[in-house]
Amino acid sequence: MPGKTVATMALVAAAVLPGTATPAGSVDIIRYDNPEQAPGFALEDVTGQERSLEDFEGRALVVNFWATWCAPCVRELPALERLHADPDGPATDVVAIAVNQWAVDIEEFLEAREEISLSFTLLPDPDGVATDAWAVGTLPTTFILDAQGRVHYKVVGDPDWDGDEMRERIAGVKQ
Amino acid sequence: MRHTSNMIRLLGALALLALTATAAQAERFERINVDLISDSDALAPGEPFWVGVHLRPDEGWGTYWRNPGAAGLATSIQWESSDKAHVGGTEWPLPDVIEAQGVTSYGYYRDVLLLSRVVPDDDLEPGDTVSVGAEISWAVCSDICILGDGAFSLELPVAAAPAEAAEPPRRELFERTREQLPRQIPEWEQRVQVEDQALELVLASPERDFERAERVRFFPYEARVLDIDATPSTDISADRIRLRHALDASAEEDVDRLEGVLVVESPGETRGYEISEAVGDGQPTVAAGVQAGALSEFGLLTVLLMGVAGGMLLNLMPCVFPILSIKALMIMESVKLGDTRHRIHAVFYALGVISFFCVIGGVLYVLGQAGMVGGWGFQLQSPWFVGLLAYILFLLGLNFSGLLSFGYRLMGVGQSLTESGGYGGSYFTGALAAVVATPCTAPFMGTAIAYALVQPPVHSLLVFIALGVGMALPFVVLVVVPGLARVLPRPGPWMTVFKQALAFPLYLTVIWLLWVIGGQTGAMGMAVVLAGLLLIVFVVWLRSIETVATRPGPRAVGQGLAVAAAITAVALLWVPDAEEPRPRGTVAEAAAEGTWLAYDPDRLEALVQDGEPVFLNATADWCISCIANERGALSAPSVTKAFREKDIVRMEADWTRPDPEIQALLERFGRKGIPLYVLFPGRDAQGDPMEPVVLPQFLSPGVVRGALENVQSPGSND
Repeated sequence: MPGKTVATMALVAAAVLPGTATPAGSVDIIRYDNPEQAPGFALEDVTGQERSLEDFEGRALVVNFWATWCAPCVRELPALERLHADPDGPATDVVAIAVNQWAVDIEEFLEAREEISLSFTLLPDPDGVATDAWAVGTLPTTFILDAQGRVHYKVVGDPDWDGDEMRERIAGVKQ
Repeated sequence: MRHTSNMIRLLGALALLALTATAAQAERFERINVDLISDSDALAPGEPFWVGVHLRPDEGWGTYWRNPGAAGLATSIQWESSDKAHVGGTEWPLPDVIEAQGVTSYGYYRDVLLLSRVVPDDDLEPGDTVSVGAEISWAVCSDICILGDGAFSLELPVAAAPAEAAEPPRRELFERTREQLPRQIPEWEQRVQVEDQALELVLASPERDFERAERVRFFPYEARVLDIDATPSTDISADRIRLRHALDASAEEDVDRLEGVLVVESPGETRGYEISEAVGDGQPTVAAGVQAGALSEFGLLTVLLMGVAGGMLLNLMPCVFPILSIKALMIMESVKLGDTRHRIHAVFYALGVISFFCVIGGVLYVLGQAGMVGGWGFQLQSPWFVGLLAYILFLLGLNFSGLLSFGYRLMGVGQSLTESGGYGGSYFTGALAAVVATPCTAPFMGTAIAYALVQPPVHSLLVFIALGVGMALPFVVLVVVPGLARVLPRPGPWMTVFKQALAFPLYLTVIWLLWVIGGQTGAMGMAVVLAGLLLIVFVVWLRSIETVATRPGPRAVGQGLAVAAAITAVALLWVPDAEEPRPRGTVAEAAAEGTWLAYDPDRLEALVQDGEPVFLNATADWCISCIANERGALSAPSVTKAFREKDIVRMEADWTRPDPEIQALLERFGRKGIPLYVLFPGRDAQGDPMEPVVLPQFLSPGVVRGALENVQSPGSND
């Protein structure tokens, strides 16, 4: 009885206080048992430099599809930054592809949101070429790739990137 | 019981209808249903109708407004139509504020209908179809955002007029949604200024629209103008809203324009007002109205000067002149008798005039605040006021004829300046002169009053004081400046004769007022006021025989009868009812002559659209200047000839009784009163439409002919 009450309260709290320490939103994590080669991309980054998937081979890679207007996407950016910059973390590269947005959109966004400082690669996808190739229709959507560029996980929503579960998954694809 | 089961069946049928009606086109996308619907099942040529994109997200999901705020993506709609109709832009119902995880956005976490108005061509025929298409893309969000897009289209058959409305649930959905569109602000004062990195918006409603308002919020059309996370500070009173909102850190220092919707929440009602206002220096401007906007360009000083000038012209009005003449005669008499107090009398006279204008100003302001439409001359739309004016002028006439002398108690008009306590008399003479001047609108006054009514109360009062000062000025100057009074003819016995002669213009004015009442209420109302006039004569007669009755008994009876008759006379004023239908006076006459059309906004619009030249005359039976202009200028042979030669449509807006359509017409041209003359000149030599021209309030045949010269003559082959 008490256990059930606690569980109910936790559910209510999760519903009432969305987005506190643990994301309350539905997060859908798909694991591919037979990982296939990712579709790839070739986009200019915010500095104008051409970047493609091949540039990142050799390490595990997190490819995040987001947009500056997408609240849940923006919310997970700091966690992705910690994932990328944490020396004790699973040592991965992060690429964030901004869906249907231009470099100037990202620059304006970073100017307006001074509290957000990102050191990973930001790729605007103004024509949605990469977005279409990866068949992304929901934001945020994040793919976890191994060092050979094969997709192991597709994550729809904003998971707890700081939690052990996600970090272990990323560490797992490196092998 | 049977009722209940019938009711259930009916409800079931309605629910089914609602489902089929709204779901006819619905397409299911991830987390959202989207469809394109219309408020009509069949349309009529030229008759506008509405279409809407119906977005119905799942519970807990939402779409965004045109400015999505800090996060979100505005729904985008590309409207298309066949070449037989014109589809307007997207009209957005008022959004909600969505606070999620410390991020503020604007949108709809509920069903929403994004509207567009469609105008089908006039030359469609039954059997044709009109197609309306919409390419829509959206983001539907909760913890994640799903992007979606789709193309929709509607085929609507053309029916013979009238258009065929959709079933109630769908039609009502459109009606409800239209109420949620931002409204255009009426002729209200609005002001936007930037100060200390904050934007201040002031909106004043003379109609006390904010009486029950509890919360206000501003939704800018542009992103990153206001600091979306800041809480605005607001100050709400019945007639004024002041909202202060911090600017966004990235906003330009020099925000030069503010565009968006001010949403005012009252219990049970939420209204949005569309704001589009240049950021100014704190000076108020007047919203809407072609000329009202231009009015704000006049400084207060200019308007006050115009008020003074207009007030001065009132002295020349036929209804005012007799009273003034008498007052001037009295002054001459007092000067002759060596009275030195005439200057004080002049001041009291001026105070009397100004008091009346202040009262009128106050009444107009209160009426405006209460949402009742007010304009100059509005008093004369009330039969009781016209009746009262008839009584007063009749009493004055009797006085001038020497049949009646008022005591100080009544009016003091007949009070000699040489008697003590005559200051009150001067005061009432002033007030009376102003009362009888109301039918006569002088040029400039309409403009000054239009300006006054949209100003803060203090400014408004100043304008009315200026009118009073202007009207009192010539008289005061005459009295106060030494020597001027001596220019007037020497007093003598001829003055009594002159005074008696002046009674006749007053009786004539009474006849005119009776005619106005007749126009407003028919023969019955006229007879009732005539009975009132008879009672007045009866009271005068009773008073004259009081001196004969020496015994207290009959004397008391006589006095009682006099009081009863006087009360009855006043009570009779409430009998005539302006709401009764009446023959449309001058309009009907004109129509019989086949010259003037009655004003009809749709007809005017249609004529102007077709490039037809139209001359519009806004008039009323009680408006002396209007009638003078009609007799002197508009009916002059040279003018009627020009009207015919140029093939100009003449339209008359009769404002003898209140009429909101004519009120709107006056407001469109920045006027609060009549006369108003507007020439819509049609097209120029190159075939381009020309702007309407407002003519002066005093017309001469030359003025009208001059204006008509700009109108192109119809082609020789016409």
